[in-house]
Amino acid sequence: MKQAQRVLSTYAVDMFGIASALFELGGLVVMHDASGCNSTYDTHDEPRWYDTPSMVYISGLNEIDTIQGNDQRLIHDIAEVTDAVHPAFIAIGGSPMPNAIGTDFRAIEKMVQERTGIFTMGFRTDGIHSYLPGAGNAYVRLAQHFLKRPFRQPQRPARRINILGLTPLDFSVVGNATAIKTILTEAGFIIQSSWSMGDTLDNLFEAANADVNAVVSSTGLYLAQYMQEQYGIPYVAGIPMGKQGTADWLQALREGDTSYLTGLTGREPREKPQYALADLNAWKTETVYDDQPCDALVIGEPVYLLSMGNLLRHELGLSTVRLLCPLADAPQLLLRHIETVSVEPVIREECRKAQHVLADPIYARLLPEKQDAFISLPHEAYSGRHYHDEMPVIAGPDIADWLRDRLK
Amino acid sequence: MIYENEIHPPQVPRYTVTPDGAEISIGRADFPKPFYIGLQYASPARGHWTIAHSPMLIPQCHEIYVCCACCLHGVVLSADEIPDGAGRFSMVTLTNENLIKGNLEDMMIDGISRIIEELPERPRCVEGFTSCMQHFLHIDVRIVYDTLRQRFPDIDFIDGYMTPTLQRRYTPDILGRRQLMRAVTKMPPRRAVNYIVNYYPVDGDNELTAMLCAGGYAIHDFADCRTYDEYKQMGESAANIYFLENAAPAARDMKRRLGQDALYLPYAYDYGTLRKNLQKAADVLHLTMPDCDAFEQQIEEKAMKLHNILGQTPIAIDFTATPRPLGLARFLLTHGCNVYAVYLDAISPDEKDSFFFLKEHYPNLSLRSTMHFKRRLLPRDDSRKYGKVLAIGQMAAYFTDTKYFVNIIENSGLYGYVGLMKLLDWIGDAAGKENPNMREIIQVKAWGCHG
Repeated sequence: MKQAQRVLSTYAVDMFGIASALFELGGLVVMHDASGCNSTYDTHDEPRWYDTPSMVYISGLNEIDTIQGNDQRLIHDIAEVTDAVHPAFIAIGGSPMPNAIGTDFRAIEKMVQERTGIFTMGFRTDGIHSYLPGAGNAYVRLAQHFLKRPFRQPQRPARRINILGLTPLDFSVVGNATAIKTILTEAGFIIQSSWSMGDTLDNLFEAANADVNAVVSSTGLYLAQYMQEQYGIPYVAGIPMGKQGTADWLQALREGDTSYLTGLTGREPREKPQYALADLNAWKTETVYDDQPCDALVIGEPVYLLSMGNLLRHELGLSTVRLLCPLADAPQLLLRHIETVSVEPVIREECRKAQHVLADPIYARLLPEKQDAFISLPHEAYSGRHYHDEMPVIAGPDIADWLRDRLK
Repeated sequence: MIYENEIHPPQVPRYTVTPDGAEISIGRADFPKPFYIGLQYASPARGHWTIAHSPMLIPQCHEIYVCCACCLHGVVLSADEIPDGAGRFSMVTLTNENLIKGNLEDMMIDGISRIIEELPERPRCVEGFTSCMQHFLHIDVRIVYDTLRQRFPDIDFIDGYMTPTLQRRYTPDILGRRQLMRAVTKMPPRRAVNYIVNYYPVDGDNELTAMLCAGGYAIHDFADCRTYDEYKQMGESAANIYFLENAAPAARDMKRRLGQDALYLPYAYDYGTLRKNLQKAADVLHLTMPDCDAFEQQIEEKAMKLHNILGQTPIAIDFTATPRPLGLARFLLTHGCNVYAVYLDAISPDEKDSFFFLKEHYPNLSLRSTMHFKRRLLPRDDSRKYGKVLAIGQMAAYFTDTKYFVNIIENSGLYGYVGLMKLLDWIGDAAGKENPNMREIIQVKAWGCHG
């Protein structure tokens, strides 16, 4: 029974990815759901909730509206908000029930936009897929509508940079976003825009004037490919980790070297997040992988995995490092050198083969008898706010020493 | 370390709204729905319990949720946050593949069976949870649980429901409370009564408990069962005493299944109801009434002292602190205290009298929605506008941004005359000292819950 999880958690879902990606941009984000999704996102996945009054709401979907397919109440309630404030945009995503009845979010998008006069994005999310295509889709839709035409061509060596895929779901609020920006500015880069921590919508409009895109999580890959296709801006996937890793990352950015970590050329066909969202069973796979023991197994999101793998192999001297992504709906382009498993017993067996497991602390419950093997690297999208106190700053040179101590 | 610039990014647009629609003086408010709630906001004050937490009160019960990922993400992390909660929680993920194939019963039976077989210790009880999706597609839960009961005859199975979309008869909270009692079965009768279905053990000092003990009754308090056998012993009682309107279906269900009397002795802050509650218990259970006059005299003295402490300190109350926020406001106002706001979204039928009393005598009392979309945008600055504000309840503390607050959830076990006296003490204590950990405390989910 592949879907039974005795001890593991689940990742934040598509709607939460949308909300997290758009949180700071002054829009109105609506989860079409009865209850629960809002408090789940607000409590566990959104560390900015207490202090920052962004407009993320649920619709309060009820049974009779579901059965009758009545979208009018949703539209009316959105209009009630826009009568009182004028959000920069409106985003609407669905939960399992609207998905099951085939709610037409594109039609709702049009009706809301017509009623309110405000740019509206409807997302056919289902609350079943992960935050990766959710956030990725939000970025692309936003860019398709708002990006201004560039007044300059991308330059080499690159100086103006966009950071793509920066949300608390992957970086929390423990200083990673600040560290990434500091590394870039100290290396002489000008941050054109940050998608989407610490920036304004107005600033994001100008993103097409960048020389290069830094894709710091999979959520940013879709937008990076879009901007490559539209504006010829190259992208580099990776997180600066360790002294050498940071230097190499900066160099790849200066050169616009898409092959860094990924081996990609930048000419691959564009992956579209809506395809990942349409994959009916993208959530689970049941492949059994290599039976050989390894020095380290890393579990997480693909860009993080590639960056951590690079650090472990090249700076910390581990020879056999395996990378495991439990998010089967991550961009396939990034999974070419990564194993994909989300079935609990299979992940347990993979952990058993590793001398060290670098993962969110919840994974350590798979092997209570092997606790010493696990190195706690909490992932907000997986364990929420629970392990904030244990979160190291993964971006920057210092993570190498932090890990070196724990790998002894 | 949390970075202030990352949790509180200064560039985020701030919108200004008027309070119209989200706040109304009680003099102009309608009963029982003073607000139209469209899009809904959820505040970060989280101390009230959910259906992920309440089954933890059944000792040796394991929760297994069978839902889509979005629902699971919330409950698994909620369970994970409470001490020892993770070990009593598992899940089976419902996918689109299941929805299309329609194998809802099979996947649930297989998933729950597998989890039970892999648990390090056999649970005495398993509460399974289905979600809106399965019921929308007409899952036959009878087949599921009949099969599981045949397969695991040593385990009591409870059918739990996380169905917020499908509220045909009951809200998830009401239905959840009813189901919590479903594994209680008939036992040889004893001179005993139950307290059902609170989330906090009833404070043992109250006069009702004293009356029952003096009358020779053993008391089984649902929220205070330490073993599964204690939980099961609730089947031997003559009556179920419940204090919350939301527990009524549970009491009715036990009357139907077990023949136990249902006695509603509601939380209250008015002497009439408090006295009536005790009289009702005395009549049904043949008990001796306590000296109510003496209790009332003591309360009056305490209330006077409290008034001296508080003076005209503005007080705000919220509905998570007590199921009768208007009743508490009425008591405090009629004893000279300055209650200026009550945070709630609807008014319980039990509060009808208090509502109309306050409407007539204190028409300026502000009713404030906690869920209305504007609540997100309205400033949380009462404690700066008014100076010191005293909050009774976590939501009131958050919305008024005060560190003077009574950390109380659903009455926190306080009951009756004695409970009211203790509450007055707590209010006085809270007014005297800031709680520097307000921000951290109110964000803890299900305050007081443990696995």
